[in-house]
Amino acid sequence: MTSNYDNTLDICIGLIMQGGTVEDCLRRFPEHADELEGDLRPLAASLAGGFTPNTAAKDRARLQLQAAMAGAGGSTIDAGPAPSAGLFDRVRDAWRSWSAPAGAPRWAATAAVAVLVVLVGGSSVVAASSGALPGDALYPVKRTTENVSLAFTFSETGKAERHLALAERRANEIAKISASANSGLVASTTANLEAHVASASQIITSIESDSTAASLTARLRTSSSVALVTLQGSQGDTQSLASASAAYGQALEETAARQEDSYVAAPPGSIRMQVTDPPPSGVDRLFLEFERVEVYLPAGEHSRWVTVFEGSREIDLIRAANAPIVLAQANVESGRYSRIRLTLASSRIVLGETELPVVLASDTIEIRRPFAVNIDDLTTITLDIDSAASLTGSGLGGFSISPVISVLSREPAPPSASPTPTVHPSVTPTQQPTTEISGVVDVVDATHISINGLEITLGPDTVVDGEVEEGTEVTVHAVLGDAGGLLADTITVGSPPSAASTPTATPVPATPQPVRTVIEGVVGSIGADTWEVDGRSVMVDAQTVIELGASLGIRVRVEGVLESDNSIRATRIVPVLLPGLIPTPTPPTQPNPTASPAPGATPSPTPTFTPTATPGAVAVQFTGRVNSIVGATWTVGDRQVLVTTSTSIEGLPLVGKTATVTGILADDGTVIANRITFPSLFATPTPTSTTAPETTPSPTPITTPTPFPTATPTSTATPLSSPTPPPTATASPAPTVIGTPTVVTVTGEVLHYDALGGELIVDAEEGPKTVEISGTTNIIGLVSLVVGAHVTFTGAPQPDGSILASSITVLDS
Amino acid sequence: MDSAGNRQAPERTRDEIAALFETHFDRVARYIYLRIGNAADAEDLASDVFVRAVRSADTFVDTGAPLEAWIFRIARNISVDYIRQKSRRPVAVPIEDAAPMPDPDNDPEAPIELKEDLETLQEAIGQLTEAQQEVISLRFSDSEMNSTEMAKVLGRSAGSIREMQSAAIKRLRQILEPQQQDPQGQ
Repeated sequence: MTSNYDNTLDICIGLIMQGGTVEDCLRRFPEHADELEGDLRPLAASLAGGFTPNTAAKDRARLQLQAAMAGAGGSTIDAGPAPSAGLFDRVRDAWRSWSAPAGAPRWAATAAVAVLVVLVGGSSVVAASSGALPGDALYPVKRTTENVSLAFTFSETGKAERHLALAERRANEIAKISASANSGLVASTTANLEAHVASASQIITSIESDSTAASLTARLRTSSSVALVTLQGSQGDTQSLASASAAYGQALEETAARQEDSYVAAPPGSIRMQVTDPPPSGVDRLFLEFERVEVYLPAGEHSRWVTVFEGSREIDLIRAANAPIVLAQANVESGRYSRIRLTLASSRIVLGETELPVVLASDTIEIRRPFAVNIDDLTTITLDIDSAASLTGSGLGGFSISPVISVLSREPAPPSASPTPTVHPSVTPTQQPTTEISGVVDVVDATHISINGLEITLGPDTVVDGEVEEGTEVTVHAVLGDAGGLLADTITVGSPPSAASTPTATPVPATPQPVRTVIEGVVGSIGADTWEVDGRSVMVDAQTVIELGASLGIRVRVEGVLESDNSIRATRIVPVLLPGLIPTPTPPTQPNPTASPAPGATPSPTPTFTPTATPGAVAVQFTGRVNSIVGATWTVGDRQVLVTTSTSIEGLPLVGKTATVTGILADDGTVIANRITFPSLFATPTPTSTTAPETTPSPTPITTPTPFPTATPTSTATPLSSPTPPPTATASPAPTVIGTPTVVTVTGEVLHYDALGGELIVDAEEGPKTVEISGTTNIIGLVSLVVGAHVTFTGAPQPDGSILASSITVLDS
Repeated sequence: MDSAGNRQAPERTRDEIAALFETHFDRVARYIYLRIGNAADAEDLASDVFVRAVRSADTFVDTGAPLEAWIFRIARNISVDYIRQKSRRPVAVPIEDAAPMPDPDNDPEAPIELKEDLETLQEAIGQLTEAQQEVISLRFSDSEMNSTEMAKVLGRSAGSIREMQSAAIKRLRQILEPQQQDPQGQ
């Protein structure tokens, strides 16, 4: 059996690997201090440093992998070089393996030559050509290298991304040469840009996977923003800009046409499942082992179960009586979910000194309980397991358990306040929008339900929770049907919590009320009186208030009235931007450029938008602690960062370290990183300047060419491994950077935990600290977050004295 | 539960391996380095791991364990083969390849003492049992690699991994402490 010390040592190694110190561990586990110090001290320096492979070796390995990818399609290629093989041996082996297959495709020979070129050191010429511009002697080498690189990219996704990256590269070159080069060079470079955009578009429209196509379409929008802003920022001829704009516009139209018929995964929100229980008397421990937790997403033919947790997680229900225990937390697609399914593995009970197995009456429990997961927000589902009602039998005859569970959910507030009492938009931008309607049932039959005069169709996938009859107060989540009507997704008896304090609609009006709705999506086109937002027609007129920045390629929120043909007559269109990354100052409201000014339209107090050059790419730079690295998605501070093959990573990337990220703010709030830099592991950490913009912010009107605006960084973090300031139990402010909030790291014991309210009170050395938990808070630890647990958390101080946690590490409990 | 697992389309597996390369190459190379103690060879072998994975993609069975676990199992097998080969036939290593540390361009500020620490640690790891070496090499290869992840890779319970880790650390302490007290070996 694993001893307490083994667990403690395991936690400490994890802490040190993520940037903590031996002293941190000794303070947390004073009962094991001597043993821990002896075990960890000899290793600490090595754990904090480590071996990093040479970047050239990784490049070489990438080529070998790509060659293997090609060979897996039919060629036969020998294994890679033997350990310590000399350069000559490597070349000889590679050549033999490539020349062996008689029927190898033509490109394979090209690839083999490229492998050899790199292996024998030809890469120096290639490297020298990387900065070449059209007209330079080495420019043809650069273009040839690009073509070889494309030939080496075998996945369709990779090819599309590569084409878009090359289109952006062409835009950069045009910007640099347009003032001085001859028009022929500019024209040929522009033609190459258009060709890359067209190739990317062709791949996106023909790719099989809908989700991949959606991801690439988002990349296309970003590429459009980057390239067009680059061209606008240059002082070159306008023909290149017009041609590039047309190419991107056509590509966006083509990809939008594909999306109309396909399902696209919505951006993620977070869901947390936790367990609570009023305990039965006389039971010391009642364990329930969960194997899987799933939630059901009804989405027509794309309906499916989404896994929140899979593995083994045993919870003592008796401990859950004191405070809810988190069962699982995961990012899932945002939207309306209708059911929860729990798969149980085992159960056991402890009575005094005796432990007995408990028979599971069923290993699967399905609960119908609609709930929403909103984008970038946390929905907490509390499973209230009544173990007294669930447990049957006695110690003599054996126990069995059939869990009786009631569900409490704490959903985040809807994306925006709705002015109309009965309709609450619940928008999932890239999925079909859902509308929430609450009211009294007028008529219900097998195919329809009428609420306050509004008729809604019942479909085969409609989930009805409770008995619905005339006069019943219900909440309906509905999607817009193809014919213009509403199709019920879920029907729940009772009004939603958010509508409880709001008067519902006038009972049984003579005529249906106009259905007010809100959608979010990316602007695909802008016409004189009709915009297209994620494939939906949005009508604008002189009354429509269009906030500054709502333009092509930008994610916007559209508020308006739903028309019978599914279009929306917009009353307001607002750019959706995340706070924190967007610099001030606030510009005035932008008049509708395609309609006469709305009389009486007042500027909106929307506070955080900074205008950018059309179509609106925002270059940002910020510094924060790396809280997680999951594949290509990193969390730096509270921000999701996408790492692509073009991202330059400088330094050793480790969770817990401070990184400076430079990149482009995508329309979903993600930062697509161009460069991520880590301070040297061996240098004394110093605060990184986070205020160096690429150019001066220029809040000029959006139609005027302008260089990249830059963003104010959200945070800068205190490196946990700093050798100088002791990482003690006190709050330690990070080095202050003007204009940025500081981040503090605090350690202490949890005095109070309100899981439903998302709040902790931690007994830090300098006194109790209130800690807020948000949907993006990363909770790490092998043990549960409960009252009495020791935690270390990092977060930003709030004006009310609390700390908004970006990560919490549970040290013990 | 389907313990037997499902065979996944090799094309999909290959695409996933290619994606994993970008995020896991360094981890795999670090793991191998800690097993074999030669940086240049660790880089080459890490490359071999991904090449072998691509070529064996049609044998990958989705048992629910992450693909990373399969990659690390290949890394383990390649490391073991390398060690066996080395032990049978000593290989003359060019002097420039013998230094177990990576290219100084990657960490120009790395103090000499740390490099020596790493070399010493690697030598000490070489004195552990095979199972202990696997646990320690995996654990020290990646800050994200915890006992639960290691359990998936090594096909053991997380509890037994923590026990082995604890025993390995104790053994390392026994090996390293006398050297640190008497660095000259006197």
